[in-house]
Amino acid sequence: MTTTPINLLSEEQLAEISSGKHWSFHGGIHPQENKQQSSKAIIKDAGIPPFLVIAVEQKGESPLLLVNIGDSVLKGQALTKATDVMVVQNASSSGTVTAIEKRTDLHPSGLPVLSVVIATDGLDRSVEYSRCADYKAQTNTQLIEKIQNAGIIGLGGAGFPTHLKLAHYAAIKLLIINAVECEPYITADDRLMQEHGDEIIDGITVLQHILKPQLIVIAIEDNKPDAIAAIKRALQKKQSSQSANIIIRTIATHYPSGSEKQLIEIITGQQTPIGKHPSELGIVMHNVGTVFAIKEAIIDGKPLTSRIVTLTGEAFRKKGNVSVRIGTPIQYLLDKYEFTPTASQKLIIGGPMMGFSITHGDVPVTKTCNCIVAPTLQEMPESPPEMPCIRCGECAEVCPAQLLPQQLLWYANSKDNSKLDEYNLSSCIECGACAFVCPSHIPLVQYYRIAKAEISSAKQQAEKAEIARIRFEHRAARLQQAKLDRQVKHKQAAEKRKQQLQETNGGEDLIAAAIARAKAKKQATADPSDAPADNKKDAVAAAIARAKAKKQAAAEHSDAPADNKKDAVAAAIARAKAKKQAAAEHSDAPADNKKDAVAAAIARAKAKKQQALESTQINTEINPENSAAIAARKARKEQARLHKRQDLPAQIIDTTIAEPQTIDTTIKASDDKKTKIAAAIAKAKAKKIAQKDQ
Amino acid sequence: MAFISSSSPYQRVRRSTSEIMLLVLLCLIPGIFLQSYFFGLGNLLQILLASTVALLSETLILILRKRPILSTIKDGSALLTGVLIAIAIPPLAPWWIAVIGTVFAVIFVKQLYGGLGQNIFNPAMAAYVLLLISFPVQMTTWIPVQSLHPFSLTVMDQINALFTGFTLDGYSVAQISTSIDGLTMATPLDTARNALNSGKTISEIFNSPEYKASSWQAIEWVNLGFLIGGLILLYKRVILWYIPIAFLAGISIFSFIAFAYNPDLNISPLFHLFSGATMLGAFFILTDPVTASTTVKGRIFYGVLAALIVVVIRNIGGYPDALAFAVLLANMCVPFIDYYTQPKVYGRGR
Amino acid sequence: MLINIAIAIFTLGILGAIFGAILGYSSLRFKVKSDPIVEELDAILPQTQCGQCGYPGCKPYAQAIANGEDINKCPPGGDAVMRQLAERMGIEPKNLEGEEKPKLIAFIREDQCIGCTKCIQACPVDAIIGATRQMHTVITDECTGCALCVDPCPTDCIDMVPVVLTTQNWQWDLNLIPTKNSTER
Repeated sequence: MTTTPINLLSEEQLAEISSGKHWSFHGGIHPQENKQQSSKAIIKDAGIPPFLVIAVEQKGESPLLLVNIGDSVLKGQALTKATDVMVVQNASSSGTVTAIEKRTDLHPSGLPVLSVVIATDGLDRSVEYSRCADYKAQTNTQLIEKIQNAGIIGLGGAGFPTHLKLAHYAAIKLLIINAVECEPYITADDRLMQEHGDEIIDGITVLQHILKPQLIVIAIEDNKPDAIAAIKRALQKKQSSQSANIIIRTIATHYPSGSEKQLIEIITGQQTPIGKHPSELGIVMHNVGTVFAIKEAIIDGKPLTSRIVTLTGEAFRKKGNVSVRIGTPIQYLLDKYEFTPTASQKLIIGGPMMGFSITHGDVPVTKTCNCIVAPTLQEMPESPPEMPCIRCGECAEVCPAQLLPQQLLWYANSKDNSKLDEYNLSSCIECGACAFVCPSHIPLVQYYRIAKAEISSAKQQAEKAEIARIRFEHRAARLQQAKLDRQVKHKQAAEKRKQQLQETNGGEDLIAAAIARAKAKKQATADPSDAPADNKKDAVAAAIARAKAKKQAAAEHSDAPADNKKDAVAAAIARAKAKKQAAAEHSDAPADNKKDAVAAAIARAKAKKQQALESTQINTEINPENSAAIAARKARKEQARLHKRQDLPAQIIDTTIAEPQTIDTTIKASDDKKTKIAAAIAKAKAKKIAQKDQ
Repeated sequence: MAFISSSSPYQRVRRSTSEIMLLVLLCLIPGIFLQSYFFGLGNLLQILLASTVALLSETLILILRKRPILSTIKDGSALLTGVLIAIAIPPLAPWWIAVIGTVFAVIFVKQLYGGLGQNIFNPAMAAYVLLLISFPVQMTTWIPVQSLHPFSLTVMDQINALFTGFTLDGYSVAQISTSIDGLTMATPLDTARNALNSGKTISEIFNSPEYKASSWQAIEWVNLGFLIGGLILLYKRVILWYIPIAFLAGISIFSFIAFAYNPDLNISPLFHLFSGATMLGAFFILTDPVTASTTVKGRIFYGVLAALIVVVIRNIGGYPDALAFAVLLANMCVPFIDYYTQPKVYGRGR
Repeated sequence: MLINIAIAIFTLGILGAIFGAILGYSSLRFKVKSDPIVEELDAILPQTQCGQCGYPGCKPYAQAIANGEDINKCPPGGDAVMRQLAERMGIEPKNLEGEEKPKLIAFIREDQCIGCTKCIQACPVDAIIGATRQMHTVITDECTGCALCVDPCPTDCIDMVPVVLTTQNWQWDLNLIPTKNSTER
C-alpha cells in the first residue's frame, strides 16, 4: 500500500543534504555515555542455552503455529506462519519443542504471552540455507517476502515489521541508516559496524535495490570513531556505481538524536508532520542492525535467529557484546557473564534513558533487546523522593518534541484528558529528557505513559460505547418492527376470528377464539370442531391442564374434562395441542425469531414451574422428566400469557403448542442432549427451590 | 532473585530543587553585602529574623496541614521567601513588620494555596504589598547611608531600634532617618516623585539638596550587587535569560519612550535601571518559576509586561516604586499568557 | 417625595416591561426545536444499556436526565461519567449511587448451556450468539458487561469475568514503580 506523498523531499533539498549540510533539533541532553565499558571487546557467541523460549505472539495476535509439542526442530525452521503483518518466527537452535504455552515476555508488564519452548540438543543443526548471490534478479515482492520469512523486524527498539516498512518502495527518495545509537551504555550497533562493515554495506545495497532511493545517508554519532572508520573502509571497497549515492553523516552526540523523528530533522531539516509517516516525505529509516539482518536473509539465506546484545553495568563482571540466540533466557546470560547482584539491584532492558526494568531473569531475549544494563547503586542511584514541580521549565528546554512537560504533568495529575490532548501529549516520544533534568525528580515519563494509556483506553471505551449504542438502537428498532408485525397479524387474526364467530355459536372470549382459529389454521386435516370450555378461571385448574398436557405429550388423545374451575384458555390450548399431535407428529414450526422467543419462554416456564409441578404431577408420561417439564412450561406460559399478553396473536400460541413436540422429538433423537437438558433442568429446579426457600 | 523495578530514565542530572534555592540564596550575597555596607547591619538582622520566622511558620503550617515537614523545609523556598522580604523592607523597620510579612507570605500566599508550586502570587511580593499598604510609615522610613548618619549606630543600637523603635541612646528611628541637614530620608525614587509632584523638573531635582542627600549612589551600588548575583545565576543556568532580559529591556525601552517624550518630567532609563528594586526584581523575584510564565514566549511577554507596569507606576502612578505591584499584576496574567504562548509542537509546522 | 417614588416605580416598571418583552420575544424567536442535550448526554453515557439506572437503556436515561433526573445513577460510568454529566447539565456533582466496579464481561460456561436463548433476548446489544438448543457464546468485543444475561439463565452458566490482562491492554502501573505523587490529592 503506497500512499500518495504529500510533500516529497525536493531535488534541492536532497542536494543540500548531500552537500554536507545538517541541522539540529530542539532540546536534547548530554547524559553520561558510559560506552567504553562495553565497546572495546569483540562480539562473542553467547552459546546455546539449555532451552529457548520464543514468544510467537505479535502485537497481541497469535499466529498459526507450524509445530506441535514433541516435534523436533532445526535452527532456522519456521515455527509460525506469516500473515500480512506478522513475520515468521524461527527456531534459533535445534532441539525438541517441549511446550507451547504462555511464558513471561520481555515486556515492562512482565505478563505472559504465547511462546514455543524448545529444549535444545546442543547440536545447533540448521535447515539448509540457500545462498543467493544474485538477488537483483528477483522481484521486490520476492525479496520482501524473504525478509518477512526471515522474521526481520526493526532491531533498533520498536520492532516494527521490516517488510511493512519496505512496502513503501515506490516513493522513497531518501534512505537513512540509523547507526546513531544515542542511548548511553549501548554499543551493540557500534561493535556490529566495527566488525561487520562489509556486510552492512551489502545490506544497504540490498535496500538500495529494493527501495531505489536517490540518496542514502548513514548517520553515526561522533562518539564512535572506530565504527565510522570501519564503515568508511567498507564503503570505499564497493564499486563506485553502487556507493555513489551513499554518504556517511557524522552527527554530534546529542541525546535523543537516534529517535526517528529527531534524526530525520537532523539529516533533512524537516519535521515529520503529526499523524504523518516519514515515508510521506519520501524518507524511510532502517536501523543498522536490521540492515545486517537483511543482508544475512537475502544474500546468505539465513533467517534472523540471533542478535547482538550489550551486557554492561558494573554488576556484570564480564561486560561486552555478545551474539545471543533469540529466546535465550536472560538468567542464562546473567550466569554466564558473571552477574553479581548488588544492593537494590536493577536490571534494565534497553538503555538507561528509555529502557525498562525487569524483576527477574526468567525472561527470554527478544529481537528488540539490544542491551541489558545491570547497574550498581553507585552508577544509577535510586531516584530521590519526588518534590513538587516548581515550573522551572528545564523540561520544556530539553524536550525534543517541543512540548511543555510541566503543563502536561499538571494535567496528567488532574486527569484532564482534553487538556492533555490540547497540549499534544501524543507527540511525546518518552525519551526521558524531561525527567533527566527535572530538579524535583519527578518521574515525568512514567506519568505520561500512564496518562497515554488512560487516554487510549478511554478512546477505546468511547469507540466501544458507540458500537454498543448502535447495536442497541438496531435491536430496539428490530424489536419495534417485530411488535408492529405482530400487531398486524393480530389484527388479521381478529378479523378471521370474527368471521369464525359468526360461523360458530359465538360468545367465546378472545383468546379461546384465537386458539380456535389457530387450530383451524394449523390443522388443515383436522376437523374444526371446538371443544366446550368453561369460563371459570382458577389456578388449580391450570394444574390439571398441565397434567392433561403431559398426557398429551405422551401422545394420548384423551380430553380431560374441565371439571374444576378451569382456565378456558388453558384448556383450549391443551386441546389444540392434542389435536395437533393427532394431525401431525412433527409439526414444522417456522424457525424465526418469534419461535425462538417462544421457545425460550417455554424453557423458562419449565424451569420456574418445576417446583409447582412436583405436587400436582400425575405420572402418566413415558418420559416423566421431560414431559413433566414440558407441561410445566406450557402451563406457565399460559399463565404468563393471560396475565401479561392478552393480545398475543394466535399464531404464536400455535407455535408455542408446536414447540414442546419439537423438543420432545429432539430429545428423543439425541440421548446426549437429553441428559444434558435433564441436568440443566435439575439445576434449574435446585435454583428454584433455593429461591423459594428464601 | 527479584530485582528492583522502577521507571525510566535511570540516569538523572543530580541538581535538585533545594540546590537551586541554595544557589539563589548564595547569589543574593553581593547585593546583601552592599546593602549592609551602606545602610548598616539592619538588613542582616532583618534577614535573621525573617528566615527564622519563615522556617517556624512553615513548620507550623505543615504540622497543621499534616504534610511531611523535614523534606518540605529542605526545599529552601520558605527560607528564600524570608530573605527576600528582609531585603525589601527598610533595614530598621520594626521587628513586627518582618514577622507579619513573613508569616503572611509563607502561610497565606504559599501554603494555603497548596504549598510550593501551587501558589499563583509571589509570596515575598504579596507580603511586601500587604505591608506597604497596611504600614506605609514604617515601610517608607529609610535610614540614610552610614556616612551621612548624624549619629553613629552600633550593632546593639540597631538591634534595639529594630525591637523597641529606639536606639540605646534613646533616638527614635524617625530621628535616625533624618539626615544631617534635617531633611527626612527617602529613597531616590521617592525624592524624585515628591519633587515632580511639587512641579520641579528632573534636572532641578538632580541638583536639589534633597536628592543629593538621598542614598542614590548607595542604591545604585546595591542594584549593581544584585545584577552581579543575577549574572552568576544566569551563568549557572539556575534561571533562564528570558525574564530578566525581557524585563530590563522593557524597562529601558518604556522609560526611554517616556524620557524622550518629556525629559523634564520623566526620569531617564539608566535611573530606572539602577534605582529601586529593578535588579533584585529582574533576577530574583520575577524569575520565581512557580509564579512566572512557563513558556519561552510567555516569559518574554511576562518580563515586558512587568516592565511596562513598573515604568507606568513609577512615572505616572502614586507609588515611588512599583516592582511588587508589577509582579503581582503579572502573576495574575500568567495562566492567560501561558495558554496563548504555547510553543509549536514538533511536526505542527514551523 | 411621593412623586420621586412614583417616578422610580414607573421607570422600573417600564424597564421591566421592555426587558420582559425582549426576553419573551427571544424565547420564541430562538426556541430550539429538538433537544440536542439528550444526544450529548447519551454520548457521555457508557452505553452498557444495563438498566442499573432504572431506565431501559442509556438513551432513556439521557432523556430522563434532560428532564431533571439525578445524574448519579450510572455505576458503570462511574465518577468520571457522573462528573461529565454534571458539567454538561451545569449542576453540582453528586456521590454515585451504587458502587463503581471494575469492568467485567459475560462468559458462558458452554458445557452447561442448554441453548434456551433467554440470554440472547436479554442482551441489549446482541452480543450473544447462538440458536435454540445450540450452545450460545458471548462476543467478548461487543459485551458491555451489563450482566442482564446472568439472571435469566436457567442453569446459571453465565459468569461475569474480568477482562484478561495482556501485554496489549496493560497500562503502565504506577504502583509497580516506587514513585509517589506529592502534589495535592
